Amino acid sequence: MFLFVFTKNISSKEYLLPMDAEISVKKETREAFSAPIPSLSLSKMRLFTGGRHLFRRSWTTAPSSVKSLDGLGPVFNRVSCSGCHVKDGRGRPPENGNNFRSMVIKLSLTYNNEILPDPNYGFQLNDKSILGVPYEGKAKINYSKKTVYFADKSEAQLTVPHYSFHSLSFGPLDPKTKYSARVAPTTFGLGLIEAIKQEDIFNNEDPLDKNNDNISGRAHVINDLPSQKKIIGKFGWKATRGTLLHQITGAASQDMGLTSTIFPKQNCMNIQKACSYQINGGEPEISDEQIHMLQVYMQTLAAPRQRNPQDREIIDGSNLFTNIGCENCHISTYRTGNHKDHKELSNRIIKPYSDFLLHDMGPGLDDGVEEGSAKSSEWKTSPLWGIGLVKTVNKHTRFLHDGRAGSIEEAILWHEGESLHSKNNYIDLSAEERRKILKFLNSL
Amino acid sequence: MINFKFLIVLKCILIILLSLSNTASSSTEKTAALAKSYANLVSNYYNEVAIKTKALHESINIFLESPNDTNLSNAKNKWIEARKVYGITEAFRFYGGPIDGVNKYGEEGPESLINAWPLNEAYIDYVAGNPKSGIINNLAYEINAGSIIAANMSEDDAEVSTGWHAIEFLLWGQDLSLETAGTRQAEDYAPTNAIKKRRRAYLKETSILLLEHINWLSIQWSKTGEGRATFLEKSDPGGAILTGIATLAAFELSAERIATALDSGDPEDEHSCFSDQTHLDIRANFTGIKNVYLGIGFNSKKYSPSISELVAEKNPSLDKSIIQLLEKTSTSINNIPIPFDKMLSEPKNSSGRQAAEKTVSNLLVLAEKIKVAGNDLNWNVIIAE
Repeated sequence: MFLFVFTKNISSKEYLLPMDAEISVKKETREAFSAPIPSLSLSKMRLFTGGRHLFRRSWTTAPSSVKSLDGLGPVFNRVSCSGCHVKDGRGRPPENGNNFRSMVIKLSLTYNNEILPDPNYGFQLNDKSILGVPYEGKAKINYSKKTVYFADKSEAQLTVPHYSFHSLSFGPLDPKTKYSARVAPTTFGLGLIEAIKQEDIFNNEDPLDKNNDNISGRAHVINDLPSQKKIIGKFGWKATRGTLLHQITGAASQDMGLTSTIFPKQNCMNIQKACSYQINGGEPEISDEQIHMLQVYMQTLAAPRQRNPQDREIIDGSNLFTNIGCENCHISTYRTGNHKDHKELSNRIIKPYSDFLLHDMGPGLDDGVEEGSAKSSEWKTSPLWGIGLVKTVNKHTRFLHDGRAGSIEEAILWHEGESLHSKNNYIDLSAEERRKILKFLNSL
Repeated sequence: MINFKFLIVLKCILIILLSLSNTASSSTEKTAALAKSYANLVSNYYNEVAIKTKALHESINIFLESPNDTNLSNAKNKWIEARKVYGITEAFRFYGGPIDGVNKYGEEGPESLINAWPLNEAYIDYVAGNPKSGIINNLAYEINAGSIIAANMSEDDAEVSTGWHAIEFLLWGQDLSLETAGTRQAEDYAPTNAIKKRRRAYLKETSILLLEHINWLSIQWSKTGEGRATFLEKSDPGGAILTGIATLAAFELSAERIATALDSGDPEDEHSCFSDQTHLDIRANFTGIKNVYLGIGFNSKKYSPSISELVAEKNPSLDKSIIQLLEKTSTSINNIPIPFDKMLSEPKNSSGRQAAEKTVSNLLVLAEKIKVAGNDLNWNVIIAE
């Protein structure tokens, strides 16, 4: 069988290697995403566990008896990081009209080519608030079904989400405001992604599709707030963050209402008077020291290694995955460059299965919200490592940015735009071949 | 002559080969003997925890029959007695054994249902400032074993519904003072209204669950237990044993439970914050590390061969230095003031905090030395995987 694989960044010999054992773990329990990299030096354990403790700690309304952990809100989505990233894993849409727990709604409107927040609600709908302050509003999801047919005449059901808003405290959303639901992504292996060399990502770009494969991925170059440098975005559903420091402080501000030296302003829109007048929990509310611990924790959570890589069916599935074109974007293997904070993460073989580029995913996943230079139809290729462990860790199998897919297969079937060709190849496979691809994905 | 020389050479080769295979087989035999004596030690401790947890369960039943102060304080004492032994068994975690691994049926060990921490108590019951919080006050939430298990860490890591610390909170209540532990009133369990009845049901169910999970562990490690059999079939049981104690030393005890508490800024970020028994948790964990190393079971029962004996054969000076370090760590732990939360509220350079810091660093050195011991014995020790 002829295998065409992208090995621009790595020798074909290294491409075949498993992930380095120093930075990956082989666990199949609820703790699968929560272990530190095995090579983490013992002197950093304290920062790791301190970060983990903060990740799980509930923040409280200021002023409170514990000064270092107050300053929640005034408006927010969750009171702790682990409230969305449960067991360092993946969030999901709420069941049967319940409150949103591990999912948020991003808001924005594009006016004169400029991306602006909703004038009354900002860039994210905060559905909770501290006592005495109105929350912004609540969202609700209804689903409809659509049927997809495979070449062998069997069929699959896809779930299409429809969002509505209620209990809005400051009137309706602006008529031009678009909204995009986002589940919390997994948080392991992120230091390793940070350590991927920029040129290895640029190398895979093909914005003008010169190789005529209908795939024109491009890197999302963003402004990294902490360093004020233009770098490649690697984190977030649209690759809007290039460093974990930027990502963590952004999430603390948007999701929990915590100010930091990077985001010093309270997250209150002008119309939200009560929000603006609340006592704060210090300036900043989350200290640089605390952010540092969280950063080390995020950077050094190990990635899960593939299980049963020698299984015949899994090898077949892996070959099929490559042959039908999935690996054109879900690029499996990298050798990391130098990580400036942790030599443990440097120069390692990793298998994230992503090119970290933006791709047009077609109208089905286009929700109208643009971020940075990412168009509303463009999404970053999602890393696939650990995808088969989500059901163990998070007790669900909801995938894609808004968790609309109820299984890995449904997620594949939503692929359009640049990935239409590969999706169609998948549809043309026999049931047996599809089963092998899924078995392979579940081994990651 | 040539033939004779050849024979001598052949004989030498044979002797070398034989002696090589002798060392190989004798070290395999020793490791197998160690695995067996370790399994007996583990079984000995889990049996003891099972006895003490049953006593706790019975004392909770008596308390629920007559919810008065005497019966509440008796149940608290039984909780403390059981915890003292359970803490020792945490040395049997971290290598995918029955407590926290996945067995051949794909079932995950009960660790997260026994000892999950930190615990956000407002998820279970009322707290200061929120008299209606928690599952107990949520009349729509049915309380039974299944619903309590389903609620455990389902939507937040700190939303722990069951296990030692849930029962601790149900018995003691929130600890709002540095002078005492939690001061929950026995009256909370009088069957006089719907909420109190729910609290009674909640305590009863979590007590049954804990006992069931502990009994399961005890059966897994019994002579005919499947968990024991799987352990004895391991290709590197020595590596597993050392990974367990080194991870408890460096990661769970040193970093997670002591250092993180020192750094957090909240005195109640201690392991057993409702009962103020954190000092006992630390001692019990440390006893687990020490006793696994030395081959000592409950009530000083000796299990041989021990890790210490095997290390001493290979590298007597390393064994000696580990034993010395165990002594030193024991002293620094005894120097940590009681209660732990009061120590945490002291300024950075207080003598109490210094004793805790000393313990943190001793445990890290200990873990390093355990890794070296593993290396000497050709066992693979991975901390915190």
